[in-house]
Amino acid sequence: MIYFNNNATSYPKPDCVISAVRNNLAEIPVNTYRSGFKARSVVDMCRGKVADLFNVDNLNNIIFTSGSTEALNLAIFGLENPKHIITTDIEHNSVLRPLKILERDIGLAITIVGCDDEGFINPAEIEENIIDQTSAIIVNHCSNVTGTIQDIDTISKIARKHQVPFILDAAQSAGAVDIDLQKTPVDLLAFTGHKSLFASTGIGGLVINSDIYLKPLKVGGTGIRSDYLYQPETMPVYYEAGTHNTVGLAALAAGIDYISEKGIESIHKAKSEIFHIVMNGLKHIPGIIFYGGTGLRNKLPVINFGLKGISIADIAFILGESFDINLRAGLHCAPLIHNSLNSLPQGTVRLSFSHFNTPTEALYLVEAVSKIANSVETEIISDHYENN
Amino acid sequence: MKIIKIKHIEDCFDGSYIKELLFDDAVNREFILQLGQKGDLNYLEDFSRPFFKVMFRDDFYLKGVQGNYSVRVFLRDQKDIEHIQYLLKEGG
Repeated sequence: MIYFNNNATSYPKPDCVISAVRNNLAEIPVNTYRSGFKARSVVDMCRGKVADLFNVDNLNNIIFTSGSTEALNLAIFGLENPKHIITTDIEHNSVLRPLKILERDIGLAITIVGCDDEGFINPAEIEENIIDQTSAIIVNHCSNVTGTIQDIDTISKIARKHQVPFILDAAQSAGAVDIDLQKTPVDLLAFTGHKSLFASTGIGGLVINSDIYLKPLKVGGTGIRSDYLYQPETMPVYYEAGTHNTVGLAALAAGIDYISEKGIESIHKAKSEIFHIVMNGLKHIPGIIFYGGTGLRNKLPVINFGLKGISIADIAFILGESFDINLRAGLHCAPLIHNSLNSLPQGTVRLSFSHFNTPTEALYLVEAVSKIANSVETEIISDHYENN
Repeated sequence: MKIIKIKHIEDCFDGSYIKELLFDDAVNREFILQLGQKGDLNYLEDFSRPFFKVMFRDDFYLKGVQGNYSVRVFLRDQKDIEHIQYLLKEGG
């Protein structure tokens, strides 16, 4: 099986991540808040690594969650009496659905800023829509559909200028793009482990990078102040009720170590080489249609395409079942961006690469798509003769 | 060929739904061609594992790969599943 679905979940995982998971499962669990100086729990250890990754001073402001969906739910539902939120067409349903629920349930006003046909938003449009009641600006750093990287330096400065909290969805960018929270004034950053950080599924987090208050999304056991019948306000346990996903944290810590050793730039370069092999091959196939552009400027390496004469779903089905290539087709949980990509109602076939992909795999994919295009063309021609 | 299991895959937003049918034998060329006579057959034979799709209506079709033990059916009405079972019984 060949895997080109890394924007969903990265595969394969580095050996060090697999070892870390195995070791964690074999170890006696360390009680996070009772171990004292005897042992540093994987929770503390991982919090330190996340702090280094994003350049965060206060470790207690890193909240572990099950992934970026839970982190964004905490960020959005945790806001106190939000009146108006600005977001964009490129957002994932992990942002859009919480916002639509607040719109329905409490009358939240939502402004959705559009994007161009590659998925870039114009920061000036965000600024134009800020009003006195604006409670937050929420932007997807890197589109899971097109890979476009937004200009968060400009957007974060606009947000600070107008004193509006800036929430960044870094689900795709964490581990793939250098993010320094000392330089970029993001108030809340949501990330997940299982994509570019190479961890397992079920682990992620929210970095609180300002004095913004959020209501907890869940309450319960914390391992401290058990005689207190309310949620202890101590950070970070205020937001981390329940037992931690230590297996996921071990994977996340190892994934961050792997990226630090390998280097974000080197990983990006290797993925880009695969991107170019595939793009150079696909663009010569008759009937190919690209969505979201064909270049890599300010983008992570992702290709979206379709073929004339065959549905998006059928292309993906054939690639999966006949050629054993794993990829994703459809709207990719980001429905609004497809208005700008002209890819409605079917969406796109999305190829998202890993530095573990090889040139041989890339060429096999091109050959497979070429065979499908040729077969479809033959089928269309024979239909034409049969009908005439 | 007999259907030995029907698995529900997905309910679609437009009210249609997808089922997977598991057979007691691998789907072969003869079966595909017989089934193709009941609808509009799209058969891409050039692949090492050929793809086929039989359209009965725009919102009622079946697709799969020759050699697999299962196919996917895309249905609109509850009656469609009975219809497909009837067609497969006749075809197989």
